[in-house]
Amino acid sequence: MPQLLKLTVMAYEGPMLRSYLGMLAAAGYMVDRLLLLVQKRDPATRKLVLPWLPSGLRRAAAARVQDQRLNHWPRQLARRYGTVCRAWQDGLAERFGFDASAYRWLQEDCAYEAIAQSVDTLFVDGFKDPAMLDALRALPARTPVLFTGGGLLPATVFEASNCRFLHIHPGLLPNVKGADGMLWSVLLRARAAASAFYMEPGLDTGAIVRTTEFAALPVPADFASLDIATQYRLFYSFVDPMMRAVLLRDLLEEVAGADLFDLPAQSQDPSLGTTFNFMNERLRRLAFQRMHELAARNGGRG
Amino acid sequence: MSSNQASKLREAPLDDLGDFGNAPVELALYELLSGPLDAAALKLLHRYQRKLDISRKLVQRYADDLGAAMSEREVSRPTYLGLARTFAAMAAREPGDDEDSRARLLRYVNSAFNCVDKLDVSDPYVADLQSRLDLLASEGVQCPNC
Repeated sequence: MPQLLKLTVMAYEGPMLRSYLGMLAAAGYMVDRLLLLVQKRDPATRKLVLPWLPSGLRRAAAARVQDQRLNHWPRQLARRYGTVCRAWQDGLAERFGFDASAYRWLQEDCAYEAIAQSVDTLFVDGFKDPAMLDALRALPARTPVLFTGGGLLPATVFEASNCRFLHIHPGLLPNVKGADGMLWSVLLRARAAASAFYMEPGLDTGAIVRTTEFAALPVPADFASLDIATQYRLFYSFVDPMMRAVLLRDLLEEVAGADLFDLPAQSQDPSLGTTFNFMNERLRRLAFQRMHELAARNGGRG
Repeated sequence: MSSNQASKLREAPLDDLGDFGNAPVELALYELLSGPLDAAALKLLHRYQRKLDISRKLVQRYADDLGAAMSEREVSRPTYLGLARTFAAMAAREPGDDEDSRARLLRYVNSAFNCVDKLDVSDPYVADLQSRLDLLASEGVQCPNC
């Protein structure tokens, strides 16, 4: 019987949501609520999806478009590069002690009801959509919300004072803020890392709940044979999201039974650390090379 | 141009890189890169840097306060070259003796690479710049305590 967590997960579709759900299922948890955000706009073109359709049909079409766009790469990569994808998955599952079945959620249709007691779909035009704030305010008092979709939310969302937003950032806070944090952590500190924090209006600036610098990632030998763009997509399909999910699992184990709305947290000193932007392809190449070297140095490959 | 000439161009006046152009962002960057990089200039440079790193390009005109792009045309090649050279010089100025310094170094190198992506790497000056950036990047990832 899964253990029920008093936790709301709020997310758009995509590898991060799927990794959280897969990891939670594999670790024997259920959440009490999933707030699935469906964008009114096509994530690729930014155009409204079939705006002439009635609302219900439009929502279904938008959900379908979103699923196709945001879950495209895990499915495509698993089909085209099955061997290297499986090697990553099995290696990470073994090294970080989780059931590789967690990855099924990334590649197959998702039965949200299997992991969440209630599933609500929110049809929104970005985070500033008033429907979002309304939905958050309608949640019970002291609701912890695990949020995926970037380390920045508009200030209006924080007007829902009944909610507290927990985010897992790929990178070591406060040292590494911003985009591509796990790759920057590898370049800067020779370790992949992730950090859980309570969000505030500001990029990756909230109080830190837990940080982890991971053991060397088990990089499969044939990962290096892929071109850099494919390595990057694969990393963001199967590695970065699942390492953040590992931190979530470890956090839940550590604070078992505690109120996730009010975990002990350390404020960040805003003068510390560096905010990075997306990494250029040449530095990505260096980051992946370093991952290989670290894997070789720390007991071989996955 | 020989690689020797390319090395000389490294320290050459900004005008030797070519005509920046007359679009607002090109003019603003020419002025910025021509003068001393005091605190105010550095702040402005960092705003352009952020714009470049997020959208992987700079366009010729933005809304007030470097907001939305108001043009689809990118800035000229000399503008990208001038920026890349400046970012490389700022990266080179970082001692890299602690993590914060290496972080700044890598961030500048990253921005310079984003500019180099807009340039022709068969140009010896650009190739020279790229080699220097590769070297700086390899210094920036040296982590003594890792």
